Formats: sequence, C-alpha cells, structure tokens
Amino acid sequence: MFSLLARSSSRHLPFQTSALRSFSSSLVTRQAVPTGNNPLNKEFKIYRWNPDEPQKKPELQSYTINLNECGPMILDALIKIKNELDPTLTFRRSCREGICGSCAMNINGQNTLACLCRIDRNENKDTKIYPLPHMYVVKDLVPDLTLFYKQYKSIEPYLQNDNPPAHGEFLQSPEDRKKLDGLYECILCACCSTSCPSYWWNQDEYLGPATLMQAYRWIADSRDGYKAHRKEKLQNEMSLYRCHTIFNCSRTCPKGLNPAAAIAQIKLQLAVD
Amino acid sequence: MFLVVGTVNDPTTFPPPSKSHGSHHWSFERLLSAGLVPLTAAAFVSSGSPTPLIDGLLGLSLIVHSHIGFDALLVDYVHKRKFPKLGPLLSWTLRATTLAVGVGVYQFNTNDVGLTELIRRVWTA
Repeated sequence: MFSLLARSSSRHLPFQTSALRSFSSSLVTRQAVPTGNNPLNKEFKIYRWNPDEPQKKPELQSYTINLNECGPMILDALIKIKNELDPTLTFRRSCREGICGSCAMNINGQNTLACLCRIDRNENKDTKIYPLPHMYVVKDLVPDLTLFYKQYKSIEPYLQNDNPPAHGEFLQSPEDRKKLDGLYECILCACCSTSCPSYWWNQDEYLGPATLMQAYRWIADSRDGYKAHRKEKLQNEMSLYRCHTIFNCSRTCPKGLNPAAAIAQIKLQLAVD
Repeated sequence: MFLVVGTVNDPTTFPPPSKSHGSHHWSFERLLSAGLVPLTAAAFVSSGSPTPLIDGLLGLSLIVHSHIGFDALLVDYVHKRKFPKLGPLLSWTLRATTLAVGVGVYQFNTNDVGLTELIRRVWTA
C-alpha cells in the first residue's frame, strides 16, 4: 500500500570488485534476461504529463527497447526505459512481485499491475501505458490516490469489539475464518475502483469496489462487534448503491479477487436486515 | 473538481443513513423487476377478460419500473450536487412525465382496448 515515486535507479557502475558489485541490486547486466541474439524491438507508448509544465497537454511518448535485453514483465520494460532512455519517466513501483500494489496502471486498456503483466512479444504491435483512468495525475503514470485512501479509512478497516474475551485472543472457527478468504488478500492497488464507470462519475460519493470489498471484509468477520454500525453507514443512495453490477472490478483484479461478489453480499445482508 | 475535504488523513464522511434510499429502495426495485416477468406473461394470458385488473397492474408496474430506471440515470449523471439547477429540473420533469404517462395509461386501459391488447394488435398488424 505504501508506495514511493520511482527514483532513478543506481547508475551503471563500472565493473569493480565483485564484492562491491554484489551490493548493487539493480545493475543493468543483472536485470537483463537475454533470450536470443536478434534484437526484438518493441515500441512502448507511454502517457507523459509534467506538473511543472501545466500549460503543456499530456501526450504519448514513444520508446523502443530490445525485448531480448529486458525482463519479461511490463515493469521490467519501464525500469529499462527509465534506466537507459529517459530518467524523467515517473511511475510507482516497489515489490515487483504483485504484493504491494504500487505499479497499478492501465496497460493496453486494462488496469493491472505492471509487475504481473507480461510484455506482448509481438513487435509489430505497440504497447500503450496510461495511468489509472479517471484519477487526477500527479505526474506521468502516478495517480493521486488521496481520496481512495480517505474512503478506505472511512469504513473503519480494523477490528472493533466492545466485549473482548476475558483472557487470550479472539477465537474463530475454521468456517468463520474461511469467510475472509478472497477478501483479506486485497492489496488496495485501486485497479478495480478505477475500472468502474460508477466510480468514474461519482467517486466523491460512491465508495468503489475496493473500499466496499474491505467494508464487507469487516462485516463478514465473526470477531467484529460493530456489524450493525458498519451496515448502517452504507444505507444511503450513494455509498453502496451506485454499484450497478457492471463487473469491471472482478474482471480487472490483478489478484483474481471478486469485489462484485462482496458487494452483492453486502446488498443481500442489507436487504434482509 | 474534487477538493480534499479536511486533511488528507481525515476519512470521507457518509450521508445520513436512510433505509428508504438504501436497502428498501433496492429491494423494491429488484422485486418489481423480477415480478414483471410473470406479470407480463399473466397479462397476455388473461387479455380480453372483462375485468382487466392484471393489465392495469402491468401498466402501473411498468411505469414505476421505468421511473426508477430513469431516476437512477439522473442520480448517476446529473446529480444535483454537480448540477444544482439542471439536476432538480430534470428530476421534476421525470416526475411530471411519469404522472402524465400514468394518467394516459389509466385512460387508455379504462376507455380503450388496454396495453396488452394494443401490443397484440400491433404485433399481428
């Protein structure tokens, strides 16, 4: 969830002692995964916008790199472009293995994590990369997620119970624990929320699939004592019921989760309340 | 344009809870939609009967169903928080239209052949 602006990685060091070299984790020669001798040149068109030049319109900038000297994922290509072609290219990245959610972006029309998205190796087709749709852009591929995090905070995403057990921790049956599977794995990358047309038009009032799935994660938790309070908050026109079961959220989730099902569960529980 | 209300660390707030805008509205909408399926079939089976009660019920249900549908459009795209003048204007236009259609369907069903018979005639025309 915590993410940093991608800093320009360490410079290409001249070969020194191997002991010193081992401290440099992003040495270009270490990243490269050569798979053939012939260059496989692939064009990437990447959304660029610089807040320091607000009068200049956003544009797609084209970069061509040799895929045979690049890792297999889109994030590898972005890092290669930043290291070798254009250090001003800005994007968030951290874990490079789909657990931090920093590198969420729109790749060829689909919101996903750059680190989990393979590069299409067809060199006749370019790959277009945009920031998450319908969000304010901080710079290039970095969206402003302030409101997203404020909404997440609004559902009180922590255990609340006024009657804790006399001693020891809260106990939970395996069946109750199982209800949280498919919910707790969410990394809050915002791919689902920013793929939702309802969230595009009404994100100031509608919570969006990511936040609603986490709201359900706490409604479904057998240890939580504030279920009625949590459900009552959603009893209005905008927060929950702007979901029109479009299912873009479940389709795009890079973790394979199903926010639409969680929202349907909330609607069902509210209906029978 | 979206502005940060409070600091970036303050949670967003919720509108006051109201079941009639929340779960009751949703349940009513879904039950009505589901009910329209058997109701449509029943109206065609019973059309031509001397007491066109089901035909009238179908007309009423269709009007309420489409009113809720159009109202959802207005809430989605021309909400009054973004369109303080156009939003309420369209909402009242929708209400007036629904009422007018309701009166029209009532007149048509009591003084003329009724909805189902009309569709039957157009279908076979």
